[in-house]
Amino acid sequence: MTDIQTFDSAATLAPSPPLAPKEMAREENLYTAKPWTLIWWRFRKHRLAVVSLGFMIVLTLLAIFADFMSPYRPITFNKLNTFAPPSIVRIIHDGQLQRPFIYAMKRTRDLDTARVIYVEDRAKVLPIRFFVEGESYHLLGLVETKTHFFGVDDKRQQINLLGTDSLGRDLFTRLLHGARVTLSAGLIGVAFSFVIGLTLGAISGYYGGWLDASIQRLMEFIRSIPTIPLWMGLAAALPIAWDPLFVYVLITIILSLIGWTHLARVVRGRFFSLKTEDYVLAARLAGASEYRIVTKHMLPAMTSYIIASVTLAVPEMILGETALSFLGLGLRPPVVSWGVLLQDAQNLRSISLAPWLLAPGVAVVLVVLAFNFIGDGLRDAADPYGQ
Amino acid sequence: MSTAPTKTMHDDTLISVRGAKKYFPVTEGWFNRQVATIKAVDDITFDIKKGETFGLVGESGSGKSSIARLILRAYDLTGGEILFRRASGEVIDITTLGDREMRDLRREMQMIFQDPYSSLNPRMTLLDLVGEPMVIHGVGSAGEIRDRVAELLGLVGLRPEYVTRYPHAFSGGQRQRIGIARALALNPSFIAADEAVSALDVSVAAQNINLMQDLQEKLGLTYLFITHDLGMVEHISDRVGVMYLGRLMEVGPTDSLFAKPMHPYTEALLAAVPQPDPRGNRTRKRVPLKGEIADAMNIPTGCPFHPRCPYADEKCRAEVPALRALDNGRQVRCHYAETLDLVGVAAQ
Amino acid sequence: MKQQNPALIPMPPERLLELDNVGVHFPTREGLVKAVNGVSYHVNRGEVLGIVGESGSGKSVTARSIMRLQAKNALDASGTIRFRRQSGAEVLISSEDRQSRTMRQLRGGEIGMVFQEPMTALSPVHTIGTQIARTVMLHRKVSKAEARAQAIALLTRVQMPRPNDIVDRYPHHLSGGMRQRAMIALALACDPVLLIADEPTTALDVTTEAQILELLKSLQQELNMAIVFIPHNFGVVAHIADRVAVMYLGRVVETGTVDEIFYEPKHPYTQALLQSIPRLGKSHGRRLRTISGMVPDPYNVPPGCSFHPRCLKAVGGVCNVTTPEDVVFPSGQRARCHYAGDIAIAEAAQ
Repeated sequence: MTDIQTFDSAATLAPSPPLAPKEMAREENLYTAKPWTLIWWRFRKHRLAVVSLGFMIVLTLLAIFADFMSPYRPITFNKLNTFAPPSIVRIIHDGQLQRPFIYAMKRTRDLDTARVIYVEDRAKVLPIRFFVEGESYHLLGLVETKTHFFGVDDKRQQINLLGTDSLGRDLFTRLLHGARVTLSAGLIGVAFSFVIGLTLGAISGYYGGWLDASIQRLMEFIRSIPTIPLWMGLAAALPIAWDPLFVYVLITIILSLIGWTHLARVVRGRFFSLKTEDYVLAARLAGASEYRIVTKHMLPAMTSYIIASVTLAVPEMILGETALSFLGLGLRPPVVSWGVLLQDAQNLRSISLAPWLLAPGVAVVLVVLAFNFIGDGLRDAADPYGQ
Repeated sequence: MSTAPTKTMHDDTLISVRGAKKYFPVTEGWFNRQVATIKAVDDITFDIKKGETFGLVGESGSGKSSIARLILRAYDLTGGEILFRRASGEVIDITTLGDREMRDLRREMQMIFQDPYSSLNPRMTLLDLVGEPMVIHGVGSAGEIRDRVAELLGLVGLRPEYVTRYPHAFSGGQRQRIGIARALALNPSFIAADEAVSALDVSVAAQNINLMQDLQEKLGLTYLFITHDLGMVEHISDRVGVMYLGRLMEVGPTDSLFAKPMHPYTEALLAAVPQPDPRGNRTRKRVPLKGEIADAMNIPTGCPFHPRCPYADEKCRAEVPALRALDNGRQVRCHYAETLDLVGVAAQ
Repeated sequence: MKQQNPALIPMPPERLLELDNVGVHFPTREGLVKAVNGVSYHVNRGEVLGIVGESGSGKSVTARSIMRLQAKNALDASGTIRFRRQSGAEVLISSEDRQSRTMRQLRGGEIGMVFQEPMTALSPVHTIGTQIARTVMLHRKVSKAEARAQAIALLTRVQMPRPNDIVDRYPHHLSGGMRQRAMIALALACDPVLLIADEPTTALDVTTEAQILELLKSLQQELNMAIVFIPHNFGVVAHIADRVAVMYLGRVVETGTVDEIFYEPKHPYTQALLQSIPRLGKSHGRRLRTISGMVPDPYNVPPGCSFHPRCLKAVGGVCNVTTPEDVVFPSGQRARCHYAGDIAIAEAAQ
């Protein structure tokens, strides 16, 4: 009989020609790359997804540090500054380059219509200052401070990057604070539907049989209900006197009660396809317990898919929250969310007078697009072994 | 759990499959109403001797893969029993074991899969993959497992330093070797290889077949080798079983079964294999078998092969033949095994 | 697009298809994959050419490029593909577009195709009869009823059981073997002079495979059709081919008659391949010969003779440096090996 060792060296260890050391290191890198590294490499190739990811990281940071990043408090109103248009940031004054500044606004009335209008006062330059003293707030709810990231020095003049609303509140400030609520409503809603969807989807896909059949029927039932009337019905049932924060939590739960079916479907499908993978059978034949098979073999193969579909579910939640609040059935002032902000843009008059009130709508579109791009990128990268 | 009296089998037998049946229900509709039964495996009886390679051939749908999965108890049997001789010498009926006992028995029986891509978890390194059986059975410390994995990789002709790599770094043939290393991790006595080289290119298949034969000799393994490739089964097997529509048609020593088949289906199979011998092909008379394998839900009455059998008569249509043991150590499921003069392939 | 290259010497009259130095490349992340790297072969009228090779040899890519059905990202890197039409005129297929008029006329009209998995080639939403009749009507001026009658005749010709019934069935009603028969009937719809069969029997069981091979063989003789046959194993090619081309890593390494290839192979790769397959009645208990190593990654092809790292007869300083040219033997057999002549003499001496 042939000696195994010699047979080996002859039969298998003579393959490709010698590579340059650098290339060899690169190949070895690829061969020992962790699954998540491979997913990241693939994701990186999806330009739009990477840009969207950057955008969302910036937006999330802005939302978290909204108090610091915005020049005012979201509830501070100013009777003398209602419907002020966005301040235009300039760098050239009198033909000379300057540090970024805005011109002061003069409030006057249109002599024909008696409407309030704002005119830039070209004589008065208000330089934009960083780390300025302003209204006091608690940073992250902990430290009391007065420092804002930017602002203007003049006490009587304001910098309104996105203009102001009917009460003279700074829209940029309110948008950042609204981002907190809207984004977190989306994330918490998705978290809820993730828990429900994963549990029911896993039960459905893992056990199959009548359990699967019942859960499937339930899902089909939920999906067949028209969402807007259902939301409206549920939201209308919430007593108006309840604490706005409590309402906020309930709204997210309502959204997730409907949103989980999509995720459950994905999880169930993955379980079904993984059950028939040979490597799962191999683990079973090696004596692995059901717990080990699910946690070591099935769940890791699913996480990337789950993350991708969770990402794709966030926009649905955000749109749901926005729609409900816009209709006045979701969050209510004084809570600031993008849906609440959009309520101000409900009538034609304010849109024609102050089109900047639509800014929250633009924000919603951008965020929804960004999540969709990220989700697409993740979905394409989810199976780095597929080809 | 099992209180059944000790079963007996011949001293040199490792596995004895006795009257094994596996029926799958065919369901339909929302609430899974059973509408038909597929008899994937029906009344199969054969022995695998210690240290031999038992080959199982058949076309797709013949149930040959189900047999391996039944012996390893990936499914439960519908009927019959499967006896296994443990390393301790004790003979047990696999079908009566509880979960815990079965898990323990898995150390002694393992499987090599057909698809080298789907049979290795792409998210585990070679160390985790090959070492998994040891982790599951709590054999050895982390260091010992690492050493053993390196040793196993060497045994199947892969470099031990590959332990940190993931399966995507390897070709189909190498992946198959990783699967072999995993199967060997706990020193099993029995390995079922289900179409283990069918997906590989010829030159790579030859490497892996040689490796399996070397390992058998070195480690005293017993193989159940399942394939549709008659050339391969003749090459590697000591004894062969021929399956058709969930039944064993013929069992016998490889040489005599290939030289002188006793079942018309075996004859037809052998005649159908295209030979890499152009001159021989020109002189050899090939009469292709007519028709196609029947639907597993509508198995013909009588002998399941009778609609395609050139020798069939009334008796074949009516009576199911039994698998009969003949004097020459062969077993055949045909009414006319003794009277038919069938042609095999001439050994040289 | 259609101008004839004036430098091309006209093909001999019996020549049906000629590939000269064809190269097909694929840009990938790992680098440029030269899937087909200078392939030349030809097919005469009424001849069966078998093309064997392991995965990655480029045999299917070449066949697809004959039909101009290669993948979208494939680059035609070099070479010419010429085909003699029924009118006798030569077409330079390699300069035709995938969707050009000529190619659409050729495909299904003069060149038929049979693939490994008929389900992907047959439309699942039309009956077998409709699909065949439509092909007939596309290339010939016949009425619907005539086309249907033709479809039934074709199904009968491919020995489909119950053709009058099957003609109204959908592909998923048929078994694998019957689907392959339907696929062949579809390919024969307009009496092609050339049939390209890419692993037509791989997915079939051995008894069904034997039926399909017999069918193809008898149809080929009856219609005097040429076939480019890409089999999945050596037995099949020995059974059906007149001549054989052996491919390795995007090149043809040896061509010859089927007897030459099987009994007097001149290239070490062909020799090694033939010795690594178990043969019925001959190999029990023997060890299989193997080819050491594995097929290299296609984007990492060894320099010189691409087979040299696995070749037992490789000579350092020659085989790993210079790419060998074809050595032509008096019989017409060709082998792309520096030592093909010497090896042949050594074999003969044994």
